[in-house]
Amino acid sequence: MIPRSRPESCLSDFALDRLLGGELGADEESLAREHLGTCERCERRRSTLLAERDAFAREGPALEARAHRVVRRLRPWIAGGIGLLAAAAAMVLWRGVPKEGVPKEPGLRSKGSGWRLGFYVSHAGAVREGAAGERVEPGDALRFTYSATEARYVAVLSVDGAKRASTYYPASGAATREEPGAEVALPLSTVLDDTLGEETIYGVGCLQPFDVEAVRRSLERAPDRAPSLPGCNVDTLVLRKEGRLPP
Amino acid sequence: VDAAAIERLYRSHGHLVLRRARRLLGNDEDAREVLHDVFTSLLDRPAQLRDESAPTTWLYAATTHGCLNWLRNRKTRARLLGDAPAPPASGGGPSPESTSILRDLLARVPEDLVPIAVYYYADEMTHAEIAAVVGCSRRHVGDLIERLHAALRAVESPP
Repeated sequence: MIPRSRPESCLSDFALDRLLGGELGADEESLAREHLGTCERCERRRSTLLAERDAFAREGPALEARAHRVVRRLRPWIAGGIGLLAAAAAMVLWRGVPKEGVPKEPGLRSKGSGWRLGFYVSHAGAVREGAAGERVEPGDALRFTYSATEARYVAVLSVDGAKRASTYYPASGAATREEPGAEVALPLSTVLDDTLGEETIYGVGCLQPFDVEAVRRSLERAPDRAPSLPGCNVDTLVLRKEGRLPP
Repeated sequence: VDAAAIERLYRSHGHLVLRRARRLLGNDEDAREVLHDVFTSLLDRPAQLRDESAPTTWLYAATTHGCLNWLRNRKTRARLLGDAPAPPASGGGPSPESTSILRDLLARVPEDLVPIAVYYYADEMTHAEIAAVVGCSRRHVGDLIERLHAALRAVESPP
């Protein structure tokens, strides 16, 4: 077991942290300072913590106001989803779930909006986290995740290498309302078809319900223009779909 | 507490969250994630910080719970990934010299006592300090520490 090494009369880190933060009551602070005046061990520790605090204040990582990653919900997988063939993709079951790790920071993302799209690639039985510019192959399955700081109506759409627009999520109907969370897996996966080239994925998160099919049609008309809807955030990912390498 | 105040709190107190998370998890990368999670959680729900005059007390509790959640989530995901385990998030994983105090405690004591064990053994806090962080009486802390000792005795000297 971890031994307790602090002499009973000495100050804990908690007490020193509160002292440095100016959070001790007047009597407590007076006693603590009196002790520090006579205890080299505690004074040394106070200096160490003070130096750490100052270094962090100067050089610590920025606090990024993105969706946090504490909550990870695993949605029930949609049973019997096989065969929902769309023009560019088929929806299937996916047994894997997102791996742990720091999401990559690919180039084309909408940071700071409280809305973020992510994805995982299942290739030959192995699951990896995807990033913008990810190279994928026909037959690979994509599982999308979102991170949102508030509830959103969610859709995922794609424009493939042939400039065809498809809706990946929801499988049909209107955008579904999703609860806030971090890296929440959407309940369907997408198996990539054999249209090669650059594929652009749009994750649309709106505060109000919206017409997903109208968004798809607008992409069909203007495939190089990202959707723009009032009250919505759009996170964009670009993938490269390449043919299978010869064995 | 508005976002600007939380940003200031992050700059003035983030170091203690990072220090404790590093110690409890034994891994710098994971500790940074917990640091981020603690403060973004506060940005999402500022009302969690009920006593603005005592942020250290809240941050100690939030860090302990954040680290425990981090380990639980990792365990769950590792189990669900099953046959397709992901590679470590960083090259090589934790350094050989680093050890996770939390993992060690989880292996030895009932989960509900782990936070108390952290405050008592890892942070070496007094009963009064533990009572402030946990939000209970000193007497109750004493009872919990008795239970903790009994659990440790049972592990170390099985019948």
